[in-house]
Amino acid sequence: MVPIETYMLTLWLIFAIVGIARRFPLELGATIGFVAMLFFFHLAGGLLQTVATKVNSILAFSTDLNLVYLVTYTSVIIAIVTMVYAGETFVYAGTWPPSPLSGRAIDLVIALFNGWLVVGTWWYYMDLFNYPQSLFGQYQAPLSNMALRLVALTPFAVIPAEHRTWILGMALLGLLFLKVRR
Amino acid sequence: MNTWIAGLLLAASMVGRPGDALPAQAKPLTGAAVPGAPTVAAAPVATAAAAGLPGSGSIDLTVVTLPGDGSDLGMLLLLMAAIFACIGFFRGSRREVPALFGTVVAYVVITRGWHLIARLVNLGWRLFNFVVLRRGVLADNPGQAWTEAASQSALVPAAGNGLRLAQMLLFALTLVAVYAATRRYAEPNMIERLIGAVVASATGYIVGVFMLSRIIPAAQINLFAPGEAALHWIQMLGPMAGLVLVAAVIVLGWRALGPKGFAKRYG
Repeated sequence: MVPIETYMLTLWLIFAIVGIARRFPLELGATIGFVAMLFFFHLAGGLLQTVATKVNSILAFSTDLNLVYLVTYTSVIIAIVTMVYAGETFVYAGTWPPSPLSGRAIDLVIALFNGWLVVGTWWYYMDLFNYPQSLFGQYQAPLSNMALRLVALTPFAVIPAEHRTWILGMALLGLLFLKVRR
Repeated sequence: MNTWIAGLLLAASMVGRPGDALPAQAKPLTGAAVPGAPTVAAAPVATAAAAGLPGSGSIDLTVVTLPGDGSDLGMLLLLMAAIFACIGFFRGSRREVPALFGTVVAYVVITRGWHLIARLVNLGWRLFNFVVLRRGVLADNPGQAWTEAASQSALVPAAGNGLRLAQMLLFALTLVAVYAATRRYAEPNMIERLIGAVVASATGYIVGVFMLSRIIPAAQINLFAPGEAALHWIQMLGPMAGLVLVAAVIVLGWRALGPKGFAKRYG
């Protein structure tokens, strides 16, 4: 079975390739959506889980609540990725690139950052809910040392819980300010 | 050479913190360990690499501990990367990207193609000896002159004690040449400085791997699992530095989009 870190790193690199193709002005627009997603998860994550639990009690989707939570978070992440990547949403106007080399480098940095936000958040919730996909044989414990180190570098693991509100809030406000200014 | 090694051992003992600086896989030296000799914390795969050529700069899943306090080389590598990053910040990406390319090429060629380099240089040395020093072309007995020239000891060793020193010398000369050759590029702007710092840190890491693995022959530098001291600093400063870098790139990239109100024009 492919180690989960290989899977996640591959997914991250796919984001990087897509981001390089889309260029910085579009990718920075997507960053707004992803930071908003993190802010939403931070503020309304508990509410999301409550709703997921109630829906599950009606539909009897699964007896394993962790699986229900992961499916819920995964669905939200996929929905937001689709929304911010489909069409020209939140595009920053201007001329691009400033120079071929630095332009590509900026494209790469932002693309990797977006990939880290999305893939890292997904992996964080997988880890938080103890990899419930193992029920379907899609994961085999234990995590390798490298995977443990990488999980510790996911967005919610890096940003301290007590500072998340203002860090994510300021990041979102800052990005929106830059968008409004343009 | 011995002074270099002593200096590096001293630096390693200063930057590594005894006790908590032990690599995850490493064990403290016991009475059975031989003091004075670098010990390699044994991972199962270590033997294959250890059996390779000394100073071949191979990178595998082992961590080197220096004698005495169990410090690891990860901190030295990080320091070298940081020093090069500072240099790269002033030089900018236009100079640092070719420098990184040149460094990688030099690393690969010297590490993998040393036998060819040694053969070519030694052949050149014998030819020089034959043509210039012995004037073999004009000599009464050119065959004898060539035999004498060919019997000279090799200028560049293909193996043995001088191998690592010769490789380090050539690598250092190449590095100086590459850095000198890339000086002609234009002065960088802010975004190029930032990119230059990141690129140069990679150059510093490669230089560190090359040099340290030759200064301490038993060293097997681990790229993916640095020792505890290095890991501590990476985990403490890495994410913060990364986020600051991303924030700076966003602001600088946004400014690079041009004056406010411009129409969208993407290349």
